[in-house]
Amino acid sequence: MYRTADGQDILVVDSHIHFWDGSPGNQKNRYAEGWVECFYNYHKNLSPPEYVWPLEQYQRYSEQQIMKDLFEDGYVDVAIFQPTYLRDFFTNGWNTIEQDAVLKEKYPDKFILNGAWDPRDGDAGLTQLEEDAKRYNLKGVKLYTAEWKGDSRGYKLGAPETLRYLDKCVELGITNIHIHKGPTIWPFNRDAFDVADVDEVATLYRDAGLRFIVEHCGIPRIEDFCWIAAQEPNVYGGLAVVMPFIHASPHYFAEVMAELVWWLGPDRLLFSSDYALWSPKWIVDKFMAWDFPEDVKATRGLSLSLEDKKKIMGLNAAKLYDLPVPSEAGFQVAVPA
Amino acid sequence: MIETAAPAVISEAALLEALRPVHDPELDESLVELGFLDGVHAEGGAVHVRLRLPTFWCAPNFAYLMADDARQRLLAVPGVRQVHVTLRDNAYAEEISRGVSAGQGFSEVFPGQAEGDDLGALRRLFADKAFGMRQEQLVRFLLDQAGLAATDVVALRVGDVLDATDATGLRLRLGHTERLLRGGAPLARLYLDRRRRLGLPHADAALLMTDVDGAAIAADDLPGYLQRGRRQRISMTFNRMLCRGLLETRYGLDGEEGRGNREGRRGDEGCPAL
Repeated sequence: MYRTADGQDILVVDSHIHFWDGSPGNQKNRYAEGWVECFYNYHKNLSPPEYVWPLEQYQRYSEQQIMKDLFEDGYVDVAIFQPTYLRDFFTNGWNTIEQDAVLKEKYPDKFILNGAWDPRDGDAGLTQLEEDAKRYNLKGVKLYTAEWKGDSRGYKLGAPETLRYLDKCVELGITNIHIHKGPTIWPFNRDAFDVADVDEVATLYRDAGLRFIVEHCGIPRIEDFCWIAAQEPNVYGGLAVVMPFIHASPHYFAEVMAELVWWLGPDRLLFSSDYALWSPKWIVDKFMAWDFPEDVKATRGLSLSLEDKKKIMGLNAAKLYDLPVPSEAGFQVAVPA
Repeated sequence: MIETAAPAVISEAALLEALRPVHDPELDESLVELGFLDGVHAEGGAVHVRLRLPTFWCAPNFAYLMADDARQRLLAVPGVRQVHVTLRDNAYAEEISRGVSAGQGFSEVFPGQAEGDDLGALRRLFADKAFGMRQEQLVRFLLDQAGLAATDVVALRVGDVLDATDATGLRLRLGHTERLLRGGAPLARLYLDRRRRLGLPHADAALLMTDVDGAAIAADDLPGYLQRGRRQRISMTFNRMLCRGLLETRYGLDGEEGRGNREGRRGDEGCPAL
């Protein structure tokens, strides 16, 4: 819980975090090494210096570390695991549901555990999804459409084999489909990178109740993402990777936020740190203190109230995941003790 | 004593100049300015050029376009007979270096991976986006800083740009008057160049501000029309900053430890008209 200077409590749901294993022993090949190097440079480049870890710590961090960074220091009330398998690169996977489940089982109220599937796994994958859904009571999944699998360099959301999985999600009550659209792996061809396939499935599954959370807001195609999201009410923007720019480049951060708020409004944006890429503590501090610069306010007619920030920080995610919202973090103003 | 004529030495400056127009299509900026050029030198008529990118995973299709453009530009330098391109530290470094140096197309090197006719469609898509960004920058400048009305802007003809090379400003004809708009020349140059790249008509009588297909824009539609260009500009400039930052971190270009992480280190760079 984040408390404002005048004593208001803000619910903080970090909607995109990892508990990965990038240690050398788990790296299968040079692609794994390149993956870790790339992630580490994102971390180093956009974190304030005092939050930069040594590489070894970054490759594999402890339970104590994640609990401290998220819940003791980082104001986070609930954090959502977004598994990313990458078994072609990492022997035991990069960040699998099993890895994350260890913490979920130990701290059931602190974490939401999402699943992951890949339509290229065919029938066996569908069976696995059913088992995972039952075992972990899944409400969401994370998809990585650019993941390598054998000779394949990715898949499309609108493909028939993907639709089978989305149908299964409807059947199992998995309503939050988080789609990685953004760095790190640049897909091979133009279309695998495009956010247009989100548009297709968002329309197709709107009535069935599926929500599509585009992680990283489609960077580097924010322009296309905004356009699609403006038209599809069940498309959301996950702010991982966007938010850390608040430190390095507040000016660009303001411009991108202006676009996002302009096209999506404050009801469809979700705070995420992408931990351990970045630590939530400084992002939350800076975002809560942040406002649109005067020129943006004047030229775009935009503003971001405390109520809007509450939505972005936690209430929007709470709605998607049916999380209880403590009354003091709701819309009413808390009375300081 | 008469010496045999030594082969003309190709200067590094000439090679650098040749490479300057090579752009990263996603960022609409020269790869020389971006720091993607890791080195270039000639040995006789053979040129060796080394490229580097912000991450191990940077897209092979865009990398291919840049590497191939670099090769073509260098081959056009007098005296150059051969170009060896080496892309460093990328997931596809070997394939790209070998394929481009041999003058192969993307689909030959990565069979079954490219969609459609090699990379032509991709190039066109990003030329469109670059056009949108540069047009929005220029139109915003004309409306907000030079104080032109929307009706004036959409009525401009190519020939009304009297001089975009003047350091003091953009010389523009407006009806029967002529104006000098300070700060506007670089924006106009960029716009005219991106427009030319799309093959839009460049006769004096042609409309200056059209959509990407050359159709006229109604003054009333201009604000709505500009939203698209604004999104393209914000996306491209944001990507540019992300890529520059990652390249700096990756190759230690940001000086002493931690210096690159200072707050607000990348304020307005690369974003001339906001």
